[in-house]
Amino acid sequence: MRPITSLIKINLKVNFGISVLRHKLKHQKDKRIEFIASAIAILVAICSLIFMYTFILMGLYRQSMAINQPGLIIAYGFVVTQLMTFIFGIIYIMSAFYFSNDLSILVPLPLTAGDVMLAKFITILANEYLVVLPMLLPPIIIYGINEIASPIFGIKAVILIIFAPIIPLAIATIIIMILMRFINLSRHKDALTIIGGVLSIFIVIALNVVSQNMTGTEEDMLFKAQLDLLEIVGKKFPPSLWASRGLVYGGTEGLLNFLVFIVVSLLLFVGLIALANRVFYKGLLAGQEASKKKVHRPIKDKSIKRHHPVFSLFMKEWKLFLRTPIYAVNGLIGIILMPILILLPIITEDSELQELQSLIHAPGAEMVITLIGIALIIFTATMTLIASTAISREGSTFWISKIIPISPREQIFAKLLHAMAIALIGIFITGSAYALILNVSPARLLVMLLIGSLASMAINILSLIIDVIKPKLDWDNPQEAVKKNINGLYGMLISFLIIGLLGFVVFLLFDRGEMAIYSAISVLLIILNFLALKLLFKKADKTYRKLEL
Amino acid sequence: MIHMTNISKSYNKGEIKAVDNLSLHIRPGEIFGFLGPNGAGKTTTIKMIVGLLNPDKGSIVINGHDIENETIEAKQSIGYVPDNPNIYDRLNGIEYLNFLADVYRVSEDVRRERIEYLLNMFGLTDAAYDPINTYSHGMKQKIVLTGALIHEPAVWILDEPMVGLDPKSSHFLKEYMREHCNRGNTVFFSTHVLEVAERLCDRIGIINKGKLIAIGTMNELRGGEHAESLESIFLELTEI
Ligand SMILES: Nc1ncnc2c1ncn2[C@@H]1O[C@H](COP(=O)(O)OP(=O)(O)O)[C@@H](O)[C@H]1O
Ligand SMILES: [Mg+2]
Repeated sequence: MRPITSLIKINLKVNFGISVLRHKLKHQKDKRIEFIASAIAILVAICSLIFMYTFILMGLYRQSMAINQPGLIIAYGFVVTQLMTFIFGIIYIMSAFYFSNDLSILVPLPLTAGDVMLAKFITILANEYLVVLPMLLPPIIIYGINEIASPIFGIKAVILIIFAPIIPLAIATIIIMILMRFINLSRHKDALTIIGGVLSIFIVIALNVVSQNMTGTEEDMLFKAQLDLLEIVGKKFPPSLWASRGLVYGGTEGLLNFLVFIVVSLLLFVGLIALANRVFYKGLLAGQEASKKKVHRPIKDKSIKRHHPVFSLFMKEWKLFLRTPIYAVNGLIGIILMPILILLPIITEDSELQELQSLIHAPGAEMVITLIGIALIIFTATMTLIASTAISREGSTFWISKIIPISPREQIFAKLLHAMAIALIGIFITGSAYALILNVSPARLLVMLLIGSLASMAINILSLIIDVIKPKLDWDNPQEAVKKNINGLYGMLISFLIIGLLGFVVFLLFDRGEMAIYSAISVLLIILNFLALKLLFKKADKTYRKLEL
Repeated sequence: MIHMTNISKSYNKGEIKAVDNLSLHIRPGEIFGFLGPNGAGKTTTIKMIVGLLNPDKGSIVINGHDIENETIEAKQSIGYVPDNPNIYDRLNGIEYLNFLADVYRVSEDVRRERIEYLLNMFGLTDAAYDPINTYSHGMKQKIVLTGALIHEPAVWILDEPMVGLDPKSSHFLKEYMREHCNRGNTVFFSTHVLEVAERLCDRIGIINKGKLIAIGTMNELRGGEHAESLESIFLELTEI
């Protein structure tokens, strides 16, 4: 096998964890069920997203039929897909080329920069197809079914789908590669992650403002927005239009567009590899030089102060969490974002707000508002993934937890404290924002905060149990500990379950009055917390002993 | 101080027998060198002693505490340095050491004295407030060593401790091991640098393919023949 082929193969295998998975499926029978369960959970999540997307597309298709432009849906599909590929591409490429650990192994190997680039590019391309397929297939199928497509349409569609991510990904790669050559991004790695996090907060807020302004004439507005998007992207980024024209138009015009798209893709790809040979490693090496100035500092009293071991463990969790940007951004984004979203109507002086506030004092409304507030609080406090990745985040440092003379339950308790500290901050801020905007009375706010805290404690304990039972310790990029960790998804599911459970209790007791509901929920949660905590301690003792490394 | 009785460990459901029915008794005041070629089972043995791996069978008693039943007490008696340590590299050196001092319940006066002394001997004082992810491999090794010794454990367990240390630090470590044992404590370390073992150790054990194939003082291993170096003994024994 040529070195480059085996390099590509290894990269693909590592990327999808194939060897590890195969080993697990072969040697550990109990892992099979777990694998199937995870696969189903992911599938359900993805299917519901695709369903929503298809629903939007159907609306678009109906509208574009009305103006006699059925091909719009294809153009829209390509624009959205290529836009997404580009955005994901930037993220993937940054982490694969500049922040990943395997480059220190690859660089000294007798491979050209172009080879390494090629292997990485193909791996990322494989990832991108996971985005491309669900984004492109629905519009093409909708169009194909309704417009009675020919076999040639099918063939062209397959080729175009294969080529779809190449241009945006190549452009993303070239941008990053050139950027790296001149700006030492890896030295500002932490700053970048935080900027990315803040940026995504603003995107969510912006989307929210836009969608709020769109209410009323919804479908028309949505259609108009989609057309605007088409026009903007189409103008700035013609390949999407080439692809869609190539697919939709027949005859020479169609063929011409099709060929232009394919040829440009190939040219960019070849150009990229050529460029890689010139600048890729140089940019990389620029990233490795650390600058440091030496200052002699005597050891300060403050820094060797003695604390109780549990407090010390808690402080360690806290510091590692705040100092690892990917953890901090993930953990804090929810508790920052939610209050802003709640307060947004005040900031944008929404006229509907006053209507809403006047409604609140209708009989019975106060209870409903309080209950919704509780659900919202619980949701915010548990979006953080702190508990459901608490042990996974230790990764290769877990050996320290195994050798220190502190019982597993005390160690887990410190982790629970950490998760709860963040949750309580979130609960307090969100609850206050909610109470402020809806004029909730202080007594009801107190109820919201109390029940919210009890519920988020239960969720945190249950999430910890999940991570204790099966932590993902095998990672070399902290991102994998949170983003590629199925336990995070399970943690989310648990919050939904708890919210659902509480909703059911409310439903049962709806006519019995507020006091009955609040006390029943509280008692239920206290019992749940008690039982879950016992189980958590038991599982922790067992796992810490059993896990080998 | 360390009693291992008939311990075995295999990987991959018995396919690889890494340690095979090993019994060892390390006495107080003794520096014990654990020798063997790559893959002999040194790291596996050490990981069982410190509790990172569970033996398939056999028992291990540290400083009078069984690691199965008196886990916390046994752990409190051990200072362990792995061969390739990964530590919290978002903490700075002092934070890491103070964390360990807290969990090993070291008083403030004692921790100050030891931290200052060890950092100074290892030449790390200047880097004490730098984040650990800016440390070189050797510096990391030294901060882990300092952390492992901060509670003056009765038993030191070191996996290839000299690898990556500069000559000054490795000299200091050897002296410090000797002092530690003179106070009635124990050092158990693995190495494949034979000269170190030869000069430093009170007793030496040689392990090959998971089995202890020789144990004794340098004299005993030589079997009376003076000229033979540890190297030739080692080669002879592990050749088979
Ligand atoms: N996690 C593991 N999984 C499977 N085999 C292992 C694992 N760790 C060690 N081994 C095997 O056990 C044997 C002993 O390894 P080790 O104790 O690391 O040797 P040493 O430290 O003496 O070089 C080797 O054959 C090695 O391949
Ligand atoms: Mg070893």
